[in-house]
Amino acid sequence: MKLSVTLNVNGTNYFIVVEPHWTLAYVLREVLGLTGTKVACGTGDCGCCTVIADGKATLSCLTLAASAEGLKIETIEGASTQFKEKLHPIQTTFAEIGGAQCGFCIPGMVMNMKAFLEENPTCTEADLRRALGGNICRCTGYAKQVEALISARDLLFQERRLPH
Amino acid sequence: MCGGTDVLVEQNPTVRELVDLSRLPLSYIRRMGNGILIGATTRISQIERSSMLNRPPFDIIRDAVKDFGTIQIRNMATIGGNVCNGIPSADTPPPLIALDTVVKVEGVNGSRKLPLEQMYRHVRKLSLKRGEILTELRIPMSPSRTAAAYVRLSRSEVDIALASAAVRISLDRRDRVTANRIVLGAVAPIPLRARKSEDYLLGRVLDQQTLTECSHLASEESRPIDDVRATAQYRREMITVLVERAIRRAVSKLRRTTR
Amino acid sequence: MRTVTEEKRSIIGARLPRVDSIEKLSGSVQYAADLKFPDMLYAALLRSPHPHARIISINTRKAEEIPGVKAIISRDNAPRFLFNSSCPLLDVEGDQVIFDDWVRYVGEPVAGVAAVDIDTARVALASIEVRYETLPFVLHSESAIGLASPCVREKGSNIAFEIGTNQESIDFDKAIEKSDYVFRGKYSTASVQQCAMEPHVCVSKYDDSGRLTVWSSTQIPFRLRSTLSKALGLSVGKVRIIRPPLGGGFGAKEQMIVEPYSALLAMKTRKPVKLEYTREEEFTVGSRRHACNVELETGVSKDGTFTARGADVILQVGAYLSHAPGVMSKAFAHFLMLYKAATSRFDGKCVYTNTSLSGACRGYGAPQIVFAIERQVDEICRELELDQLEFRIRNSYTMGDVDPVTNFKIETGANEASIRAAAEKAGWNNRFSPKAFGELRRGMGIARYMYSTSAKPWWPEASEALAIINEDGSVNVVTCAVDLGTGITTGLAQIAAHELQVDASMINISKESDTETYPLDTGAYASRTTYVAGGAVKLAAADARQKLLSAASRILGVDLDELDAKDGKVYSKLHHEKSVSYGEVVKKCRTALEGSSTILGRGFFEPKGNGPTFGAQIAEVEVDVKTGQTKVLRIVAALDVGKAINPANIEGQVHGSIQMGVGYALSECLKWNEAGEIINPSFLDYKLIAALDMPKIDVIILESPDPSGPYGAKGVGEQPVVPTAAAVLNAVNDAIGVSIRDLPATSEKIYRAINAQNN
Repeated sequence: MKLSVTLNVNGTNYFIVVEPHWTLAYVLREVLGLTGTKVACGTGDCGCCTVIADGKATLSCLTLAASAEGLKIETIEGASTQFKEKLHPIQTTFAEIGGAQCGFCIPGMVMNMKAFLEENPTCTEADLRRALGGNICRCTGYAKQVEALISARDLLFQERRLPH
Repeated sequence: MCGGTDVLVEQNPTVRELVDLSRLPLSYIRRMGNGILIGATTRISQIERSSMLNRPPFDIIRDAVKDFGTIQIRNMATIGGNVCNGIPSADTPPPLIALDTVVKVEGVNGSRKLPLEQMYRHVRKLSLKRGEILTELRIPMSPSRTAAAYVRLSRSEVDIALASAAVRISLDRRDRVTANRIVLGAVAPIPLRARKSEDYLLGRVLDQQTLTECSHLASEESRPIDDVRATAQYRREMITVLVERAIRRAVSKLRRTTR
Repeated sequence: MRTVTEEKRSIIGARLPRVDSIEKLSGSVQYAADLKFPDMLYAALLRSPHPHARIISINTRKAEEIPGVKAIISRDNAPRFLFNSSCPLLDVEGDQVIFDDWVRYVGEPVAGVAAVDIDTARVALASIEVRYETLPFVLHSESAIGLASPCVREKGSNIAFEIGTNQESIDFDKAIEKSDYVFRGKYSTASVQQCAMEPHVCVSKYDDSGRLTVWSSTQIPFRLRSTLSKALGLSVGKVRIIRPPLGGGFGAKEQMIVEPYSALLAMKTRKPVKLEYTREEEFTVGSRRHACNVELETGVSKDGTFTARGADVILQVGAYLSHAPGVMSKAFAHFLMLYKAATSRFDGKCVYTNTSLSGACRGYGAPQIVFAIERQVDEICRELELDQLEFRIRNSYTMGDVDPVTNFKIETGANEASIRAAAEKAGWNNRFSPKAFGELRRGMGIARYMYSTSAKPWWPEASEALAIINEDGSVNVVTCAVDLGTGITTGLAQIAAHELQVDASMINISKESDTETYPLDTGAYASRTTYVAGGAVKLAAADARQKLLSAASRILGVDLDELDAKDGKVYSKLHHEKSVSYGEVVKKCRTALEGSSTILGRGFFEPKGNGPTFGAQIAEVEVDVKTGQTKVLRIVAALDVGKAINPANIEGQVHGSIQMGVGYALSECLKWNEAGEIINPSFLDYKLIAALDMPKIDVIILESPDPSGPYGAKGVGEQPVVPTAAAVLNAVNDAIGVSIRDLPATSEKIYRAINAQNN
């Protein structure tokens, strides 16, 4: 029996009808066409499907779409500011240093670390590596990603300190 | 279900309906006298950050959730889910049992309380009746000069536990053990109180000989199996190491806080 | 021969940020997994539960009646053309068909369904009734090789392929007898998986004119096209493979796996059909590295040289040949190449087993054989108290020697330099004193490699590219080279920018491949892309530059010798004011300038050699002697790349390889039960190492140019995974005096070894 739900994704409300067992990942990709979020395991082990829900990094493959109603969901498509005028520091540092190789794990990693840096602006390298435990990457060995994240952390810290 | 991090992975084909508990007002960490109350739908990440769990021996719970899954899993998983899933490698039951946690269970026929230890019958089999849910965990206060520690062994930095030990130790002014709990994880179908080792430790001073004997007793009490992650033999032998390390860690916490 | 430092360089050697990063970082890049077409159907495959059985009957009637099911395929309606799923370049007798009358491994596809959504397709699978007659099976190569073993493929030998030196080993046995010391040992490696994050996936479309288009996450578009046409009985010209950006490959996608089923269903439904493997399917049937047993018999003289080197190698193939002959041939070659000896002997057997296919996996046979050899060298040096560095250097092939495999003269090679550079950086000569910190022990180990670039001498190597100058001076470089995340797209853009002397931002290079519209490049494998496709792009850009100069000479009325091209302009070296922009040249050419109508450079490149590369890695480990848990603290990786086109890309390959290599050494392993089922088909139980497990990595890039490669460049994608496991286990040996000869060296294995030693 289908359910009517309203999903708030990247600031837009979507009124859709879902099967109870549909995951948020499935709905984002197949119904809303937001294919930036990837599914690489479907069992919550790899982090490729990570989105931000009410400020918390969340696995969309283990979230039922119906349960996601009422949450403020942010996907990789919304990670840059509106109209992609300004990329998030994680995106710019990754691009500069080479944190993305094949790129398949990247949307989930950007979202996980975006939420993490927001809550942990003074984290250490060890904290970053621990947080990266939530994203499997097979290409990079995490080395340039950690380097980029340290840079992004510092940029974000500066941004916060500067008067607006 | 609440977090979904076990239920949605397991995909049990006999499940016909799912009830999502996440909107119930059961997400809290509160003081009750000198003890702590934790609501069942409290997320692991909230527990990780809670300053109410700073002080020994409650900090054993923070030990336990520090290596729990990944950041996303900690954001989604709930302590109630981890307690009620009933799988041997779960990280929160041994520490909670080491703290003598009592659970509140509510259902259509009213509510009841029971020690968490008594909830577990076998793998994925709990003393929950149809229509009942776990709603609250009640961690009582501990005597002074008590500390607790949780130590686990896994294959890599992001992994479930192969074997674990949760230890709570209370010492008198002459450093003799006045009370203790030794609870083993992932080495039996349920979280296992190593009662022989607990009895052995009472009244003793914790020197190397005592630690060695105690941890060997605990290892003998364990009932691990072979599985894809490790052999029973290895797990049994590792309990010796883990119990000793957990006791040492608890004692060093005690020394730090009672100067 | 120079070491790369951070001094200012030209675009060749620049750390240019990747040209395809932004779309990946913003989530807008479309992988094959993201493709969706109107009316698209979703496919799912029904798989055998038995490791070996004859299919008695298949009844699809109930499944056909399910609403939303559009087509079902099985042996009853599929073509029966033989193929080899490794899509070989040369003609090889096939040993597989799409659906056979037997199943020979758990998970072998038996039927396929296309339906309006994936849930319906899966429900339909459950309604297909298959009756099997189970047959005897064998799962392990040691058993399968015996004469009394069940036949994996119903009849015939279980030895699928054999290769080696002359079987008359009298000379070898004599040499062993006369050696001062003889070392014998058995070394084994487990089956591990490539684990690309994007699974195998494709979408097929078949139109009424009989043309098939397949969008596939493939490393080998042209090779796939040949084999797919063969398997389906279609004319090659009617098959088009389009390759979107890949979400990783590591060799897993150098194989035809999902395409035949998707294509067949598309042919039957005349609708687009998508087939995407789940992660469980990836682990169980998605290609993996061959498990390998190596027995070494080695003679060493008192002065520390090899007098005789012998190897007996067994590769566990699975039920179908696929890449096995290639992997074994490469193991053979790299056995010979790794060290010199007066006499060498090699016997390699590829053995069928009733397990799923093994295929290409980064290093392709070299990691297995180098593990064995470098572990034994470590044991030899310890036993005979010989210096680990000097022994290796003394016995290696180096520049000036004749390559024992190709018989070419080795014209490149920083073998000794890489060993010494790694040793210096790692502090090899002052290592760990004391070694013990409480319950922890530290150790350091070294391993080296010599590894060829491209698939020569087994296969021909060639690539073609185009460089088109546009009317505004921008450039389109067209190449079918496949970037599976290696960054080759950026490297090739740098080559084109250098040849044309324009800013890299003016180069627009192919980010996809299309067999119908692009010139030939055989794909990403054997670390060939910089070497071969780079050579083609270099020639194409140089050709375009030459055509610009020619046309400009006529436009400016100046002699060709007087002209140069730089920064988007062609100008006279004598009179600088006489100049014309690239764009203007193109515009003038288009308006009927006699002799040319467009500026299009073509480059066709066939390398003359196979770019031997050299390198060494030193690992530092820390072992907890109470639990056997081992942490790799640091790896120093020195590698000779000939010429570093983009050092950041090279570092990226080293970092990723080390994650794979450490996993290979310590934790990764596919496991089967006695019913032939894989019991750890998920990331939960197939342990990859995480960011916190990773060692600190120092990369030392050395450049010993190879005259056969563009700017002297050689391959780099696979090399860094070749020595890692040996280096780590050599370090463990150094730390605790225990020599572990089989992978993975899990905590439990190390713990047992420590205890055995203590008793």
